[in-house]
Amino acid sequence: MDMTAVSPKAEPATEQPGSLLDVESALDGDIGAFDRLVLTHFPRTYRIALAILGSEADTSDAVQDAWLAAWRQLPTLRDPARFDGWLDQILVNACRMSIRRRGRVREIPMPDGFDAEAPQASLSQVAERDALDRAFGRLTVEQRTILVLHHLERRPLSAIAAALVIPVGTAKSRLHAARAALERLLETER
Amino acid sequence: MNESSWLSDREVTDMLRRRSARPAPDGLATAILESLASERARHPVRARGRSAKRPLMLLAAATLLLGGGALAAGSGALRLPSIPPPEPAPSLSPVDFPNLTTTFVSPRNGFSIMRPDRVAVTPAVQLLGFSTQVDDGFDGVETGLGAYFKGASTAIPHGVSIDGWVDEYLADGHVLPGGCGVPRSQQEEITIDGQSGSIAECPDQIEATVVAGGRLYLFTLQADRRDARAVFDAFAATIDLTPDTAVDYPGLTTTFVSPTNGFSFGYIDRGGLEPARVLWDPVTQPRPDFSGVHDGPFDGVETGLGAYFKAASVAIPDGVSIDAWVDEYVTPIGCAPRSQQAEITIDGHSGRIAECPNEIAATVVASGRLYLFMLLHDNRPDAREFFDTWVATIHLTPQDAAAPSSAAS
Repeated sequence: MDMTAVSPKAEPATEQPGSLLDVESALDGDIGAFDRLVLTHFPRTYRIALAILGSEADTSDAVQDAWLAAWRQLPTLRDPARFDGWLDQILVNACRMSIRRRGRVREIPMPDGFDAEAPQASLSQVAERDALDRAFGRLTVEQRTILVLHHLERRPLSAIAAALVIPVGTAKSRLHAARAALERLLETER
Repeated sequence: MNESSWLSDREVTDMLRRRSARPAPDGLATAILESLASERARHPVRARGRSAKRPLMLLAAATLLLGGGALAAGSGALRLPSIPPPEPAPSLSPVDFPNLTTTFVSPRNGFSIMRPDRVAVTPAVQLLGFSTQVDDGFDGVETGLGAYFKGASTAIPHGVSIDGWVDEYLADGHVLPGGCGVPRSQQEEITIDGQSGSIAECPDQIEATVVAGGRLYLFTLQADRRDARAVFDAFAATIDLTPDTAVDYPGLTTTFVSPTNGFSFGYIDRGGLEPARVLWDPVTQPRPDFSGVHDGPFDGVETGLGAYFKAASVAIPDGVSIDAWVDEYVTPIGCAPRSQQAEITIDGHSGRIAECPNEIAATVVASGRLYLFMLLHDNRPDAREFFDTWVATIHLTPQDAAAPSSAAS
């Protein structure tokens, strides 16, 4: 299966207006600039972490840990233009540590209002979605992460590789393996 | 991925959108900003191109206050003009006490101090409050002249009120049994290495606390001398606080001998030891990871300090290329291939080490066995130092490893 031929429309992460300047300013010690980065990028970090972890409590902890780590590690950011990928890397680590602290893979509750989002969905469709969500929750955190970055965040493979600190070729093979694992687990959840 | 697959990209994307559709809790962003503000209060802004490390030359400045100023000649020129010199305490008059002429650098507590020659010094071997022997956390100077000086330090938790936390910390008996018990807010002020602190005097003991670099420093003098305060002040005037050099991981003072894996290592016994339950077979078992779900084959130690050690060993199949075999079955996800990893020596055997996000993994071969030693950590900045301290305690005994037929169930 060629995963790149019909991949989701790549929307490489781009700095929002003013964001790059804020990164530069934060690197120069401007606390207000870093706080603006928090407010600008907070929704994205929460969305990614929630998709990976599933639990709101774990997500809140992971996002908070990630931003504190980002502040502490800010002097290590060499290229301000790579802030998004650098932040993704820190966030993914925070999610991994959240899983580690939990000690086991927790069952992921379905979100409130799940049925209400698809009022026309048949019972079989709801059951299928339920099974898919449970299957996703049984993936390893690495597998979940790569699927979230690819399918939800539409990151190009190069950005995924950077966030996971792996070569692009490895990212490609792991994306393939994660997708295959999801399909296998879905089969057992049906 | 393509749409011809029976699980379409759209289904995966829709599922992920549903999972992530819930809004963030009210106030979470504000809470993050508040946490950052608290963090900044503890650790000042570190801007690009500026050094956060404080010059070490304050030691030279402090020596000016020695009794008689024996070592002070010439050192004053090194003092930075922006750093005010410590003010001598009123009682710092020449005392009947030997000159403090030799530097002692604490191996764990992040300070140095001048001491007399030819006195007994006992360096700290453990985190403060982590040993049943209270003094294990202190650096001690036994002068033999009716005065015993001790110093220690510990990281201050986030978001606490200093005075209240110090009072509570010292009152629990694990750190300073028999202390003066004077609330810190009611104590006299003292300046140590330019940092404002508090000091209490009670019969036969003086104790001072000062905060620097997010650490609480505790210095005491047990003295049966009328000039005890002057002696304390003489010692205190020579202290150089270097919180950047403090060690926040424990001494690994207990030895674990693996019943199955053919090694022993040091650890801190806080109830976190988990011996392996099954033998390790990396070919059939999941690759080592963070989850904790597949830790059965590993001897593990949960330190409770944001660090988890685990280790295992296995006989290497005949005829395989070590690097390729390790990469295929052992190297944790996110780590570089073994051939690209740095070298490390464990118990005299050359191996490889990978420092990966939140984990360090080292592999070494001895007598046909592959050994894997891992540290999973919670973004500890001192992870490598902690790992190296652990490695220094490891002894490989491949002849003692259990054979598969004698596997524990």
